[in-house]
Amino acid sequence: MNRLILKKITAFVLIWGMMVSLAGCGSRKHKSYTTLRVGVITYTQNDAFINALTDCLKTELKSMETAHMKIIVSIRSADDDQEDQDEVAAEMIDAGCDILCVNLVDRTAPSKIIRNARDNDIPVIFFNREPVMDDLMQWDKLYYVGCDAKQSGEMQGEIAADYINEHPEVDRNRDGKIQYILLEGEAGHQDAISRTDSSVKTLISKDITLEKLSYQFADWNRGQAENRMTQLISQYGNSIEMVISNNDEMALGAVEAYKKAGYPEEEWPVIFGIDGLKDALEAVEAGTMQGTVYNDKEDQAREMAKLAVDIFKETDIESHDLSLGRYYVSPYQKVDESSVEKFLKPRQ
Amino acid sequence: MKKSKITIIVAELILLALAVFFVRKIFEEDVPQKRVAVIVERSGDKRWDALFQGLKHSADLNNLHLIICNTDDIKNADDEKTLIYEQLDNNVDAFIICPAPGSNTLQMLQELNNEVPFVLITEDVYIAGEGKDSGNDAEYTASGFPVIKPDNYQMGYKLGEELVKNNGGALDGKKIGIYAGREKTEATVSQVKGVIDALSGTGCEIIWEYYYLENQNVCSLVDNSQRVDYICAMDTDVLDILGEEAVDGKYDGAEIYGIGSSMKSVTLLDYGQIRCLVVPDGYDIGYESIMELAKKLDNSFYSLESHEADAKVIYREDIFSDDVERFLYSYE
Repeated sequence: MNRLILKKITAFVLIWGMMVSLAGCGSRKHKSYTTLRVGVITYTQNDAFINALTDCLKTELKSMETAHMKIIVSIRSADDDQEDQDEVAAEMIDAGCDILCVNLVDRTAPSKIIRNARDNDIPVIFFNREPVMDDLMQWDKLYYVGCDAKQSGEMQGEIAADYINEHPEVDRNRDGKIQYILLEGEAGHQDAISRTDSSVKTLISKDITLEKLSYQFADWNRGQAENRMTQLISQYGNSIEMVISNNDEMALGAVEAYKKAGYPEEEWPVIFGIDGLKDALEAVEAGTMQGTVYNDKEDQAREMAKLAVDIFKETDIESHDLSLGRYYVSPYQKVDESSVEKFLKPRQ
Repeated sequence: MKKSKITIIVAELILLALAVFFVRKIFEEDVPQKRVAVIVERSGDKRWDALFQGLKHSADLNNLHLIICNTDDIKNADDEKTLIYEQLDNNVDAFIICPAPGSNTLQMLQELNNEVPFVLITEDVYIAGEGKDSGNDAEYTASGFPVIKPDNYQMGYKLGEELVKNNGGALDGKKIGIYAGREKTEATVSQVKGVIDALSGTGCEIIWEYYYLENQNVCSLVDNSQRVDYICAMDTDVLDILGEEAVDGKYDGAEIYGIGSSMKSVTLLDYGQIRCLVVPDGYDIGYESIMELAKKLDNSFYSLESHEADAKVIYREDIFSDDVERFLYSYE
């Protein structure tokens, strides 16, 4: 009798268990598509170029969605703090992420992100701020997409030299020297050093005699550059003949400072930037800036998106033609008054 | 003889109790943390900073593992469902969800309710038939799910009230533009209703009413619309975009009144680009939502409760008052 009851109870428990598990299976519909989850972490939310680049990246990735592959792009920033960036990367990996795209705060400190990604087998595409080569070679699923900072400096120097040679009136005091101000990104930042160094060297190599009045660090930021420039204008008045800036944001800060100082435009120095931001292109067209160097964000975003999708699909990435199997270096382009129009048109 | 037997039994019982106590202690330490997933659209947006701070702080205190899901735009219930079911496969024990727009979200959440506990944050579920076109003048019908949110109707009402107050109680002949958040969400419906109620009978005219869409060019839409005296921007993104482009505190001649929850909104207020800001207490929403779930995960018989979070009206001159500084502390 007891055995019979025991059998009945066992059968009931088994049937109930099967029903519960079947109900569970039913509630999770089988998806007809895969999802590629791309986590993007920028060094700050306040860099106009990086924001434009991540917008392009999102657009590119979304255009690659198919009926069989949904793409979720999540963009977060690190508030200029490497520890914050490490934490955000860990959170993204924990929440489920297939590819990480990281714009490092500190290019010399990617090790925590790399370790965490490698432990979870998440490929990482670093962009815009190049990690040290030893770090990038730590694991075969690390990549870099960006530009050669030295090339941008050289091009900036070339545009400035050509302009000065064609417009001798830049040397307002006719002393044969160009008195200039340098607006630099960050102290010790590789790109800032490289851009400054190659720009000045190129100018000198083109027989332009330079006299540095001052240099200021403005953290790649328009507002900070405007403040620094306002101080310099009050200190040097109209003896400043040229402003060389490590990026367009700071160059536009200089433009703003001159506008607010009330100088007539003919008394402004010549101003050169790097990045090819929309505002800077418009400034070149309007003649308040004399040149910039186009950092091809569309090309970089396209490459990052293609790379992310190919890595996810496990397609051969040979066609990407990466240098050392890791590096994609997008070429810069010079922008001055004669060429600005083609850059102002929407680019594909 | 009898006495010694009792002593042995008592000693054995004490030893057993001690063994049970220590074994339980050992296993208590090995219990894995319960996992709570947070689903909000565009999780990288700065408007969530205060909310995430509250979530993280509360999760630490309650020994919960917090997963902030990687999301972009959540356009409808299907998008949200995909994210939820991915996290269920990730062995999540509970959810904190900002409901997706549209009337299908209600049914999707009803299904989820049978599987796993969740609380909604910042707004309730949109219910079809509510809103300006429904002819329904009553306040919003609650979905019945636990929700931790500010009173969205009151936030809109307060914004309108401030606008009226700053014009001496009348807005005769003034033109107003309303730029709200995503359509078919409870927050938008309630806030718009609130502001319109506050402005009704004051002599002003609402010239245009827009709803924010993904990738919409906010500035161009406003530029191509009839000029107004005041813009009520009832969405953080819209407010930050218009505020940033304002010149001398006005966008195309219009003063901006807004509802916002990002540090940028506060900064724009400080710079005088926004005239008046209504800010919800994001930290409290995050903190309380975890507290509720912690109670539920600790005791499955606990019934999850709704809470109402505070919202403050802030002017530029108030930013550094003790009260407002304390309120905005979590936004930094």
